[in-house]
Amino acid sequence: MDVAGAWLQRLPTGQALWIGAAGIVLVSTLLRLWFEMRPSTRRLRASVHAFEGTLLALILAAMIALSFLQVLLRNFFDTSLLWIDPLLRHLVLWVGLLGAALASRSGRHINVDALSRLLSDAGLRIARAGTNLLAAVVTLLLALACFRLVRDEVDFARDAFLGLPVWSVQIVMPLALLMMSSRFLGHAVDASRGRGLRPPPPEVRG
Amino acid sequence: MSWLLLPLLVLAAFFGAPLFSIIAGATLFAFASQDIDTVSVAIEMYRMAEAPMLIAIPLFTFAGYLLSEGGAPRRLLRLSRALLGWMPGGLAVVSLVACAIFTAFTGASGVTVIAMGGLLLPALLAEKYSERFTFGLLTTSGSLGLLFPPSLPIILVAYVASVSVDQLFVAGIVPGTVLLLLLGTYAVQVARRDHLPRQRFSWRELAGAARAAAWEIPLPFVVLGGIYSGKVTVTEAASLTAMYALLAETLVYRDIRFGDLRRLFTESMVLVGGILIILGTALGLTNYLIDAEVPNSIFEWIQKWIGSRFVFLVLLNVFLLIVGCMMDIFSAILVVMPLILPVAKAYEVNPVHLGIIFLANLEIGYFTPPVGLNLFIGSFRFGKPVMELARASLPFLGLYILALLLITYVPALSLWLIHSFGVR
Repeated sequence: MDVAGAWLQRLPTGQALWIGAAGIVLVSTLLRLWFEMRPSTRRLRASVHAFEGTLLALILAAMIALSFLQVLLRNFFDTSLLWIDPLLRHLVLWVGLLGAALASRSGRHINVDALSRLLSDAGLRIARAGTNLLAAVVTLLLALACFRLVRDEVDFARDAFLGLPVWSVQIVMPLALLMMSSRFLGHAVDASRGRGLRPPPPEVRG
Repeated sequence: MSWLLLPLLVLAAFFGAPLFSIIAGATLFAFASQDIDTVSVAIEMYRMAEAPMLIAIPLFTFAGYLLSEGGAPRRLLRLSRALLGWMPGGLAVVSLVACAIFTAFTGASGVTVIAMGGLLLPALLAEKYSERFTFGLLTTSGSLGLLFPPSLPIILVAYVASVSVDQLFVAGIVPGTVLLLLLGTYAVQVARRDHLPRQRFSWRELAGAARAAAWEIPLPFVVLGGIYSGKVTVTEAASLTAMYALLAETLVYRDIRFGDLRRLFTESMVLVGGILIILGTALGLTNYLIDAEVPNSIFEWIQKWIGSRFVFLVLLNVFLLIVGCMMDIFSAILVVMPLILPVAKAYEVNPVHLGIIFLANLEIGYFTPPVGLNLFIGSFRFGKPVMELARASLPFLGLYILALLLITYVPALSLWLIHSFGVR
């Protein structure tokens, strides 16, 4: 943990950070598009997806098990484990951001899509490419803001729970947002090539 | 240049950009234009990890997904049919009740239209309900349960308004029941008018249905009983619900195979992620707007024109109807409510009552054009054009608005139970 913290501290700030993050998103998107063309590398993509899914499932399972344990302890043994509550609260952050990254993967973020039904295919191409590009830029900016927060936290060196530094639980924010940015950029490229323009309706959304 | 940005964002929203990116874009822009370090946006986002109440959201959502994937919709339908099917308009009333319970538990009314709509559509048509009535009923009932605990929007309202979830869970019950009664009365009238055949009540069927759903019947009592008695907090109730549903659906009913579980884990978290990322970015926007004293300026501006609470509430209803037409319920609660809250306080509207008004108002937005989500989901599920569903929803819309007016102008409906039970 200390090594990782020291490494984070050595990363640049300001413009260099900007260019670096934009570069990561761009390169990862290009790599993904390149991967797509090769059937053999699809397996790599599948394993990234599987890892994400498994991580999310494990976190949720931990949330259910730990919160249940806490209920039992509190109501039947008049005691509780102090670290469970802050851990659960931080797992909400993890579930939220990893879930959002997953939503970006399949284009299932909550949106109000009122006007694109009126568009022709050509218009839709522009609209989808434009909105995804916008989302990519905004999430990149968010990722940078979150990254600066994490760096500041490394300096503060506060403990979150169980001796874990706060920055180590915050790190999910910039990472998931970078992932999302890259995914939005990928969708934008796809849309400009006329792919995935009319997804099925959002059946499992609030 | 910078003035172009905000209209551009709004335009992008209507062309389907993810709402969180619009909110985040506006927030980043606002902070940058005031020369405030954008790291504040990240700090606000991290506040997601500071609210114990939010733990309930993934837990309840997962439980809801689990229940909707298994045989719970079928068993719920059978049970409510055995209980209420003998009434005139029995099946329509059954549909209302089943949809309400289902939405309350899944917190996602689109799932109700898909899961319950699929079961109810053929049944209603087979009992000779008119197509128009059936489609109107199924499209509008999706959001019916939002006022009943433990629906997700209630938890969000409690979070935004900083009132106790326990209070809001209790407060929604009478207003939700009023709405249910209004719609139920209409259904009975329609069935009488069209001389629809009635089903006979059978104790044997009721016993059979109850036995089939025996493991799921305790669920509402775990949630409600636990919270009302003050024995468990909402988060604990969410934990119990998730654990109970998990055990019941996988081990007892075996509707969900172990292999499906991982998919359900991740699927439900896509919805949770979608809501929480909006919440995280909206926190930054709210913080900015409060700092800029926007609610104060709104109040000062309104105060010039509106003296009475009554007129304020009328305007609030109209305004929220429009908001409901344009935005989804989660973003509307997270972005609009913080602005209205201080204003409503100045007009001495109880925050719990205000929360219920918001929910009752916004649930109407689910089936009003142009962006009513359930219109589109229904159109996909039932294979009917959106405008036809919107037309079929009109009589129901009238009743929803009637209920909304009652809920808005009779605060006792929302507050009576809280006071008489002394819920904190």
